[in-house]
This record gives sequence, structure tokens and C-alpha cells, in this order.
Amino acid sequence: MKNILSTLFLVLSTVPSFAQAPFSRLQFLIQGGQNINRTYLHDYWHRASGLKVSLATPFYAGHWEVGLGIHRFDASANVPGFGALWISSGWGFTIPVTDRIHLTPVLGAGNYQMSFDESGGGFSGENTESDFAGSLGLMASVYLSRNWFGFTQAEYLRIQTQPLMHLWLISVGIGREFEAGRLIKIFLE
Amino acid sequence: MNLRHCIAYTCVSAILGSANVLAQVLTADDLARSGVTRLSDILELADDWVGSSTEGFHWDLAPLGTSWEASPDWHLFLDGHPIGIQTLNRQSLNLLPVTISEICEVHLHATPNVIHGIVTHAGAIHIRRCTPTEGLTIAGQFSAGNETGDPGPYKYTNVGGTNVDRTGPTIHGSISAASKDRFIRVTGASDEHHATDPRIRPRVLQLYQGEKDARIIYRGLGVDAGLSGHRVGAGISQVEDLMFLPIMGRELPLDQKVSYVFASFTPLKGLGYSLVGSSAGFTTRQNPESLSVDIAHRQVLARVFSSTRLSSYTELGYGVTAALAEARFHPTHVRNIVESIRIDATLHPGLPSPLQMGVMSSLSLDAGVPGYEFFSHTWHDAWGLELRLLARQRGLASRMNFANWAGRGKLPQSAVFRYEYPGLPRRESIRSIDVTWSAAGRQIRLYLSGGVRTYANVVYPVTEGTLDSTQTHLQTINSFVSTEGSVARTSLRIDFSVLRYLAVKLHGSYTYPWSDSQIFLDAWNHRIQVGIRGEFQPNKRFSIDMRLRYVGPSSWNEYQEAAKENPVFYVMRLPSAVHLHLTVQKRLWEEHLRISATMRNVLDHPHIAHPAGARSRALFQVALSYSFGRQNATL
Repeated sequence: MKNILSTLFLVLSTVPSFAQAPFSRLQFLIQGGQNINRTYLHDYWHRASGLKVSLATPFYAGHWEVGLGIHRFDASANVPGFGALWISSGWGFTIPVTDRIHLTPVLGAGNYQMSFDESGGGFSGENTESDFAGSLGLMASVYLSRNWFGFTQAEYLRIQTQPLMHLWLISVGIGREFEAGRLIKIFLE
Repeated sequence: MNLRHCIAYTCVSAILGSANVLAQVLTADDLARSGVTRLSDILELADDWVGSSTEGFHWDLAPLGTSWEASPDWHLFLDGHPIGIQTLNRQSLNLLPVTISEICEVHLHATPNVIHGIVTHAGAIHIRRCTPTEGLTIAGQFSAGNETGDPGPYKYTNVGGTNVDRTGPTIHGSISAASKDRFIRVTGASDEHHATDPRIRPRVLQLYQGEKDARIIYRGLGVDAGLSGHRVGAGISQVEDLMFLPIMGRELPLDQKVSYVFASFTPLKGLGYSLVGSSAGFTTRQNPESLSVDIAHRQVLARVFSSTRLSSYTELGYGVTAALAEARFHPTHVRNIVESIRIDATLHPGLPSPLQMGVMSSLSLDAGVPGYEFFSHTWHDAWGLELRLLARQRGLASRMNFANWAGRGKLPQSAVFRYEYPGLPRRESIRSIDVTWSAAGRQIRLYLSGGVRTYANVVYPVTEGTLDSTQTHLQTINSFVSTEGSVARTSLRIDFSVLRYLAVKLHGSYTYPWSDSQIFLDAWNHRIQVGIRGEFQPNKRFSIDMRLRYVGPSSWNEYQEAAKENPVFYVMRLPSAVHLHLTVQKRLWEEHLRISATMRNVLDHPHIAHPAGARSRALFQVALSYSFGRQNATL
């Protein structure tokens, strides 16, 4: 058991994002996305569009990121439209394809807070709902300069409502990478 | 253990309980790292304990193979003082007015033991609170959680139901001031629980109206102080509840109240004392069936003790314990008082090291019924072997719980409570043997234990004829029957340090009851539990705690009649399930501030069809705890 784990640790250490010192660098990402799939949800609401900002930093293995996203679902039937605030935390690791092109799978979890517009349909109760959300994404990034990079991301979002909400999102964005200052590093540590 | 290091009060208990590999000890850091926000969350860390809940707040706990869940007989201790929180065969840890931040250690005894002179034949949970550090200390904790299954936007469509569950906010706070030999501490707690899972919604529909209103509201207040070895404390908690009572087969709106008060003195030499009073009970609130029930159970326990050194290696401890209990049952105003007195002596014969031994025996008179207890603990430090023997025969009144009142025929008969107690015995007896072997290497520790218990003339409540609780007319009959049988249990625990900052623990327990009596067999709902726990802690500021627990299939035969009426709500046999628990914690400002995110899950969906109600599917919880200390030697 110990040997297997040690070997796995050794192999993962060769991947760049596993080899970095924790919290040594920061990545700031901003992206705009569009919901592309169609489910039962879309019988009542149009596909969502949204924005997301994230911060990522090398962790002890891979990297750790936190994100804040907003989605807007406009009503297509006699239901109120709603906006959603998606707070997430995730873990991923970077696979270098070439020097400038990287692939990054990310596994995340967080909270999906929905705020509904005023309802004229006689619905009672509070106009907010909140639920657990899990996500799985794959990001392809191209470094434009030493610190700037552009990326596109495909992401699957599963919100644990009853029935479940399944959202596939495609997004494009831009990111900047910089050294974490001493104070930021101390705070993160 | 070196007797020269013993002090009078704790020495006898320490001798009997030392080399205590059978007890699982959870430290304050264990509780903090693993995302414990309520006392009942301790169950998730317990290797040998099992539990079930109808709504995720009140848990019926039992040490696997030692105490039955439906009629728990395990003891609860707070700082060495026995606290009675049992009402109508239930004792819910979350009723105890104690906050997580003041706990130093929790000792989980899954096998018989002696704790401060009391034989805990059916296991025990011993909560030990920290003595406040010198100066002024303020600590607080906030946590809130959200369970999966909300309708989300679908509530505006024809497929979405109403809101499901929230947990919390759970708020704990304490303030203490301490100097070298004195301290005072005040704690307060508030909690809310919102379980309205679709499985139980029809059962509470006429009682629970609000989508976002709390189903359970808890408030607790405690104070304790120490002065030159004297210790006093008191606490009170109140819970507004919609409580499912298996014995009645339905939910009732209740106001529950638990309170305790204690005083004790632990001298280095001479006479010590311990005085504890506790009360537990409930009163029904207005309800559609106009049921009016008021139950209160109070007990006072006084103990004096001392010890004498017979030779340089041999010590004799002795004590006298007197207990008085009162139960009050409205509306028929049945009131009953029982008394018990017990003398005990413990001898440590001072065998040549590394073989050690402690023997305790006692005589008792419980409501006029004589009884005895014998407990011995022998262990070999070098071999890691341990042997515990227990023989106990005492009057039913020694339990001072619901079964005792029933056995004495003191329960009221009404449209609400209908009891039958055919020919109950005056005494019950238990014989028990447990053997443990432990070994430790550089990176691995191993514990293996096994034991057998034989019960005779034990009184056990059986609920029969419970109709579906969505019915408004109650037809429940509770029989109290005498039964006998044996239970074998075995457990294994392996602690393995894989890497410098990664530790893994494996544990498993199995119980096998046998008896000619089906009632005895039915009392053991859970039989097997296996788990793995991994802790990743690269430094003091960050930790990940992951637990995966397999609970074997369980059976609930007392729901046979109810299951005929409604097989969805009252399944009699549950499949096995795997529980996942993941806590990520970040600590800031020299660990003064802890931020935790926790996910709890039952991975097997059929498990939500608990015979009495629901189990949550996944709970995502965020917690913040903060402590601040200011040194002030002049306080």
C-alpha cells in the first residue's frame, strides 16, 4: 500500500503543477460562458449565459481554485426567470501538451444560490433556493506571453435539486498569472 | 500504571480503565478537524457505535453488540458525573447542553467498564471538558448546511415539490475566566433543524406548515466553575420539536427539557464526593389530536469515596453511592419514586509488573431488591493482552429508566399509552467477557478485540400494532417482556501512517446474537460496520479528513404491522449503505480561526427509506469557529 502511494506520488510529482511550491503563484481568470445542452429544465427556461471569475494557486499536489460565477435563466414559459450565484472550490492539475498549450482537468464542488424574479403566478414561499453543486471541467489554455493566457473550457455542472439540474457550459476567457506576494502567500498558508 | 502517581478519586477508575485500548478516545483536535458541529456528529467518528435517526437530529445510538438501539442502556458522563437524559427509551446526545468548543476528549466505551465507581455494563460515552486556560477566553462557532433534494427552480413547475432540508444555523459560544486554581465558564448554544424529506412529509404535514420554518429549535445554556479542587456545574436545554416517537408510532409537537447540576471534590487524600442531579422530560404542545402528555424523569445521585494503601503496591478503594429517582406521568398523574444504595470496593493487588489487575465488587439494594456486581480487569503491558470480566445481577430499579417504571407497573394507561407487562422478573443479570490484543510498530498500530455477553431476565419494550402514523387514531400497544440470550462481538482497528502527513485507519465490527427468543434477536438491528478513514494534514493550517463507512443491512421487525399498512414508510429490512464524509479545513491566525467545509452523504439511496423516516442524501456544511485568549495573571 505504501509503495503504491509513494510511486503514485512520484509520478504525479513529474507533472509541472504538482512540482510547484504551494501558494507560490496566483492565476486570475475571467470567462464568459454559455449553457449548450437541453434538458427538462429548458422546457421552462432558456439556456443560461453567464460570467465567472476564479483564482487558482499551486497546492501540495495539483492546484486549488475558488470561483464565483453568475448565470441568468430567462423564462420561456409561465414561470419566473432567475439568476444564480455559483460559489465553488475545486482541485485540478495541469498537463502540458506543448510549451504553450496546457490541458487542465478540474473537479469542483460548491453552492448554487438561485434568486427568482417576482412571480405573478400565485406561487408562495421564499424566492430563493440554494443547493449543492458538483462540477467537472476541462480547460485548454494557450499562453500568449509569459504571464497572459487565453483559454476555453468545457464544464459539466450538476446541481442536486430534485429533479437534478444538468448543465453543460462552454466558455472562453483570459487569465493572468503572477507571483504570489509574501503577504498573499502567508494568508493562503 | 504506577500507583504512586494515582490520586484518590481517579485512581480506582484509572486502574480499572487503564491500558484502555477498548475505549476510543476522540480529542478536541479530532473533533475540530473532522467537522463535528453537533454532539451527535461524534457517531460518525465512532468505530464501534451504530445509530439511526428519523430526521437527522435525534440519533438512537448504541455500542454495537453491547446495548440495543431501541432501548439504550449506555451511560452518559460529563466530567466524570453521570447525567440522565433518557426519556421514553430515547437518549439523544444533542439534548445535552454542552458545546463542542469546550470539549477536551470524548471517550467511547463500547464494552463494559467502570467509570468513577459506576459499572457501565452497556457501554458509555464520557465527555470531558477542558479546564479553561489562564486568563480570559472567548470561543464561538457558527455552522450551517444545505441538504440535497430541494426543488430548485422546479418548484414553479408541476414536477417540483416543496423545499426540503436545511441544517442549522448551529451557533455555540463560550466565555471563561481562569487563574491558577479557579475558573468560571459560561456557554450558550442555539441550533435549528429543518428536515422535511419527502419520505416523512406526509407524516408531519398537519404539524409542520412552514417551508423555511425550523422543525427543531434547540437552545442551551451552561455554567461551570472550579475552585481548589471543588467543581460545580449546571446546564439546561430546551428543544421545540416535532419528535417521532417509535413507541407511539407518530410525530408529536413537544417541548423537551434537559437539565443537570453537579458538585464534586477530588482530594489527593481523604474523602471525596460527587453529587449529581439531572432531569429530562417533555410536554406536548397543541396538536391536531389534542393529545396532552407530560413526562418528567429526575434523579439525584450522591457518592462518597476514599482509598487506603495496604502496602507499597496494593491499594483498596471504596465508596458508597445513593440514588433517588422520580418519574412523573401526566395526564393520569402517576408519580413514583425509587431509591437505590450501593457500596463498592476496588482492590489493586499489586502484581509484579508487567502483569496488572484491578478488581471491583459491589452490593446494592435497588427498591428493596438486593443485587451485586463484580468486575475485573487484567492486562499485560508487554504482551498487549487485556481481559475484562463482568458479572452483574441487580434489580430493575437500578436502571432508573423507562423499563424500570414499566417493570414496576407504574406507567399510566390511557388512550395514548397502552402498556402490557406480563410477569416481569425483579432482577436482571449480565455475564460478560472481553479479550483484547494490541500491538504497535513504527508505523502501524493494531487492536483486535472480541467478547461475549449473556443476558438473563432483561426487560425489553416491544412496540406492536403500530398503524401507519399518517392515521390520526393511535392503536399502539407497547409490551414489556422479559427475554434472554447471548451476543458475541468482535472488532478490529488498524492505524497506519502511510506518509509523514497522511494517516489511514481501518476499522470493522461485527455482532452475532443468538437466543431462543425472537424478541431478543430483533433487538439487535445493526450487525456489521466497516470503515476507512484518511487524514491528510500537510501542516497545522490545513487538513482534509475523509471517511467511508459501510453499514451492513439491518432489520426492524417491530415495524411488521406498520409495514403492512405502509411499506414505503416502514420497511422492515434495510439494505447496506456506504456513507461518505469529507471535511476540508483551513486554519488561520495561529489556529484561532477555523473554516471548514463538510460533505456528508449516504451513497445508497434506498437507505433514505428508514423505517421511521428519512435519511438525508447529502449535506453540504460550512463552519467557522473562533477562539480568542487573553493572558491575565491577575484574574
